[in-house]
Amino acid sequence: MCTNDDPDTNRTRERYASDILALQERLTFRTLATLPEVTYRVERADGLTTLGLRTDQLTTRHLLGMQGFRLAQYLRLGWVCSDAIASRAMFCEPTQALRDDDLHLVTLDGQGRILGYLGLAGVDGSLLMADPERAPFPVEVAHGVNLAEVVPALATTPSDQVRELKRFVHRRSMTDKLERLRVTVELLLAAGSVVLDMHEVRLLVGDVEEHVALRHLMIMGLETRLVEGTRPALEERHYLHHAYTERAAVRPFVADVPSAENLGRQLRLLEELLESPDPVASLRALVSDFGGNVERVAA
Amino acid sequence: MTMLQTPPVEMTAPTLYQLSPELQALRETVREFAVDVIRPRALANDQAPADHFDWDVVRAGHEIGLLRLVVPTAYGGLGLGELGVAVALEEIAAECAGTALIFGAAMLGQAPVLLSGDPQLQARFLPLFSGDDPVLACNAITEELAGCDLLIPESAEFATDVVTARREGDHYVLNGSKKFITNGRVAHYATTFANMEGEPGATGLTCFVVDLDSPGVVRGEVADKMGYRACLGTELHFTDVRVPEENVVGGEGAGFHINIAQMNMARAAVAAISTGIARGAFELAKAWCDERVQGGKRLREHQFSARKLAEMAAKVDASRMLYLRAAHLADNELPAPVYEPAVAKLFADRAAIEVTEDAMSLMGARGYVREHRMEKYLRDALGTRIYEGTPEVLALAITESLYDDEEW
Repeated sequence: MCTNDDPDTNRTRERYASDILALQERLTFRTLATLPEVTYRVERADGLTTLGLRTDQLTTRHLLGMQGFRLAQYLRLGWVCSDAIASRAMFCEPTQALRDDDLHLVTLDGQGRILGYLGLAGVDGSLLMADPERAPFPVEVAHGVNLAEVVPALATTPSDQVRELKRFVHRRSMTDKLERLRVTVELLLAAGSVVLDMHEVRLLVGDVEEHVALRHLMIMGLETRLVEGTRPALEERHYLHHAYTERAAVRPFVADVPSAENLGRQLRLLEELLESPDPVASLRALVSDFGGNVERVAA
Repeated sequence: MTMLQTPPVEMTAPTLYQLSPELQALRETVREFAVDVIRPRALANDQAPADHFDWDVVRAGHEIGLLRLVVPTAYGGLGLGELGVAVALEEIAAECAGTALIFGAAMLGQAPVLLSGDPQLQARFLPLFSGDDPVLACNAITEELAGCDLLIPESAEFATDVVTARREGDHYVLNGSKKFITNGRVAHYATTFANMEGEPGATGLTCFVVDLDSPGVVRGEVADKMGYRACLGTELHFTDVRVPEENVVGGEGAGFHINIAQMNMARAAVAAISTGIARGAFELAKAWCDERVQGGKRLREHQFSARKLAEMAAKVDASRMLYLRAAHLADNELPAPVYEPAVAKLFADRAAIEVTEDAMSLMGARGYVREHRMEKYLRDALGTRIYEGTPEVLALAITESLYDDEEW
């Protein structure tokens, strides 16, 4: 949809997208750290702060700020269609589909600029995943697949014991590799910690690119089933259509939440990694010694 | 005998005399900000060089939402109307009218984007105000020759400084200069009114959102004003400034209607600023008259002083009633009312001058000394009479409204 026959329209929509990027680049949200209730908070001595907030713990403007950050990074990656966002005058991802207890994990620098984001979303109700009345997770809608049908272990799990990992994104203007790694680790620590606290969560779902986000699951030590053979199912006009058609194969996954003991060990290793003089080497060692495994299943 | 029944509270509709709980809470919050943050710095900001700007006050005001009062909630704002703006500005102006105008001018710069009804324009500019760092806007109308009236065709013909626009491909090119633009020195963008080349007057007046960091924009001299010194009235010079066509507000030639609508809406808010100035001066004088003893009696017990205080109180109250009515109507009537805001501003501006003058006379020599802040109120009161309609302009608007019916 991003290619329009009319060059003037294309130019106008590219300018719209460029303005939205500039807008989002400018916004800061240091007051996120001052919100009265947060689910997770770690403040580092160098000013980096990682927070976990439920949707209902956020003010509207903070929520719009996070959704705007998400949209801007996807736009920079080329995973969002500028035509679609311009025609709908979008400046952030829609908030309507968010649930009150969806979790938003965010890392901020000392100025309040969002450096990274990761979402943990659930679905309404508590039906078995195999139940035909069960609400689908967004990943299932995007890939046109019922995960309970392709991963039998999932079928007998109630849907409220499943969370979807969504939008693991870095600030694209952050080019320093070590800085990016640091943000990744901070967000994984946050995700692991909140999952550890939510005793009911047994499975994580989502979608990943093999050579990118899959590594995050390995770092967390997750036993992961990668679903192969699905086809993008979002309609062409959907603003996220490109996220499934314009990048390397994106595959749905189902991952077991490790035991509290194993997850706790993984989090301690991640904390140690932050102190390491050579974080890249430490990360490799972590993945090699305690990384997760991947099993491939056909859709 | 049948007793009259008191209606249950929920049956009593809110009136102008009883603000909604949300607006009462807003008033309390802004009052606290004004007393705690603005008051301690008002004198220093007033006596600083003309180009001094106190970002800390703006930042503190932004923290309580003053830069996003009228921004819809869908863009992260508070979604308030003119009534909320007016109530907030009275509170700020009671401590410092110049600071009130910083926030008021920013809202004036937001107004055309809001009035445009253009979702893309709104999405590109309104979320700017919902981040943690304060972003200011301004509204650029006034010019050297045309003053606030850009609609007189001959102005364009004779003036060299009139801002003009011409279309070049998918951009417009702006040239010319603006004057006395509040926030012009510090704003991110200016909603700028320009006449299309060859089309002077109402038909060609067009409003553009101009990024003030664009090539060709020069933020000129700051006026060294008598009052309102906390805000910066600045020249803006445009030399071949390219503005993308998407930044036209409402289309070519829509500037006249936008200008009229925002002016009618803004007058209620400016009347509220006048009310704040009058109230601030009155409160100082009231406290002084309670404290000062002359001839064995407190000043307030002297008949001449008591009479003055009573007149001042009445003027403050009447000003408030008029601006509340005007703001309420501006929020609830389309097109925006002309008569009520003009009456409110005409009355409140004059009341502010009279009340501050009386307050000064009650305080005697102390009122004439800077540290007591009274002379600042008087200087500020004289300024409010000028912008968003002088008494003469307001009189024309009011009189035209009076005779509107007869034309039918």
